[in-house]
Amino acid sequence: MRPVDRGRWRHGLFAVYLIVCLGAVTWPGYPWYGARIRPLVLGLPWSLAWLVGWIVLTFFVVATYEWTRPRLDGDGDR
Amino acid sequence: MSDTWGVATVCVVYLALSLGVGLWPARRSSPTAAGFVAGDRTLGLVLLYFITGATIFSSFAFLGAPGWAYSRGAAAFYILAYGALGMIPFYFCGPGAARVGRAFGYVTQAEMVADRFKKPSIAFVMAVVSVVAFVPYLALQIQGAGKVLEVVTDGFLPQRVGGALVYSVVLIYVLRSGVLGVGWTNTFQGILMIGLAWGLGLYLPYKLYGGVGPMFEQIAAQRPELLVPPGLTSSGEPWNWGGFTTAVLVSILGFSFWPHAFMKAFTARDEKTIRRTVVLYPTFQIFLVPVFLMGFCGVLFATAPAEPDQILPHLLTNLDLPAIVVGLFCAGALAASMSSGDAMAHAAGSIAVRDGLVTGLGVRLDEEQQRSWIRVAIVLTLVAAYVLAFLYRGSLVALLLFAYGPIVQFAPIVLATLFWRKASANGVLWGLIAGTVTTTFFAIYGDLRPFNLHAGILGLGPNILLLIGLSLVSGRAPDPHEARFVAHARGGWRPNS
Repeated sequence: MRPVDRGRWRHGLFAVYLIVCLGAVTWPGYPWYGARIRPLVLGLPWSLAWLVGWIVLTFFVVATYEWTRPRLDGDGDR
Repeated sequence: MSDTWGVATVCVVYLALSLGVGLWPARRSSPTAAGFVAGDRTLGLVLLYFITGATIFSSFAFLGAPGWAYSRGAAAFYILAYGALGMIPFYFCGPGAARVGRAFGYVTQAEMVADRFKKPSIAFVMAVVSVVAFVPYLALQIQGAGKVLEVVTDGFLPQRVGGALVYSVVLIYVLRSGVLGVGWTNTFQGILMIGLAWGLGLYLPYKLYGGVGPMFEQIAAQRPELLVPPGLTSSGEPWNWGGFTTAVLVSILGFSFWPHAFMKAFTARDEKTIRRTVVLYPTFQIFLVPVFLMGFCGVLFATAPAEPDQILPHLLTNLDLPAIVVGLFCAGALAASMSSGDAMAHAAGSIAVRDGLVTGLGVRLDEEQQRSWIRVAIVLTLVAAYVLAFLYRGSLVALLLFAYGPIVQFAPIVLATLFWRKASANGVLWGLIAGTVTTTFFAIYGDLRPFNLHAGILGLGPNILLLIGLSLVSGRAPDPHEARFVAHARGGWRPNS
């Protein structure tokens, strides 16, 4: 029972993250929070730093999703 | 320019190294179509990481992207925006395709789809769409390579000669070594691209403006419109969010399903390798940031190039830089062109023969004959692309945008094939045809598009409608082969279940 629940949470949270991320890097999130020049972050304008931030965050989220993957029999991994 | 010989020497050394790296693995794969096309399914994480990364970033990354940043400002950021999520579909589809590929012996995307439904016409349609999409894409790579050589040698090597020279090298190593030649050269070229982008991307703002921050302070003061998304259109008008958002969506959907990228799932050693490639992909993709920085360097530069795409060669040849720096940049741009061009030529040949001739038209060829025919098809594809590159008078970029729409139509088809039990042959075939026709229509009559949406997105409507509608209407009994196929794709297959 428990592993199934954990799997559902894992998939559900990941799906929510993907939708939030897509909304943040396009309309409506990008025009709301990302479409300005200042403050400069590490010398980059906010509009560019905003996207870099989401890419870095996505890297950690996908990595976590991968590392928490339940081991299934016969999924072909060696 | 007195340093022309120095620059040319660096380029020649780079081409010789590419050739060497590409020929080296020639004898390591079996003399079969599976060996030539899929490397006998033995590729590990390093090769797969560089193949996917370097294949995706074409000469557009070194010429087009800085050109966009320079002329259209924040509009260029859409490439970063889609990159954040672009590989996610592959995280799920790649391992599924690898499992069915291993179980049933597929090495291309279309033969996988066609074989699930036992419908050869699907493979034929997909093969035609793929090859038609590849030729202009490849022609752009050849033009890009030729142009770089022409500019940095001060016209000594005309674009046609440069393009022919660079793509002869590609032809030799792809013919000799198949996908392993593509893989090893992409590793070499990928390292070169990343290293040069970061090196030059941080060095140029420092040399011209005293740093990245001071550069953006000056641009913010003089050209603020360039730094606020969605940026500008190519004619300098403000772009709109409908265009920006659907460009991102289309790119995310098209990204994983471009046949030359998708079929790399069949080359992987195992599924974990594919998933980890997706996890690591952003580390490659972030190299677009220094690429943009190079483009922004041109904004306040004293002189302007003839075309925005030439901003980087223009900057480098007009700044008093050592020949080795200019030569290395040139090698990086060639690497970007070649690492995509080789994968496309290889895929186009493989698809024309495996999907078009063998699966689609039912021509009987044994494994060695296929391998020979694939080589012939690769030569023909490159020749066609070369002719298009230098004889076609219209805009190749427009042709490419045109080709992107039909490729996006592969996304629902491939997803349904892998994971949806109820998908039917007619749903897949007619969905694909309806989507391709619709997207082609809106590509030609661009003014009829509602809300400026991308033609590829508009094609998805009829595509998904027919795919789901016809599949549900057919309601036929589940076929044991298909049940086995979907079970493999979903990862739940047990030999005795």
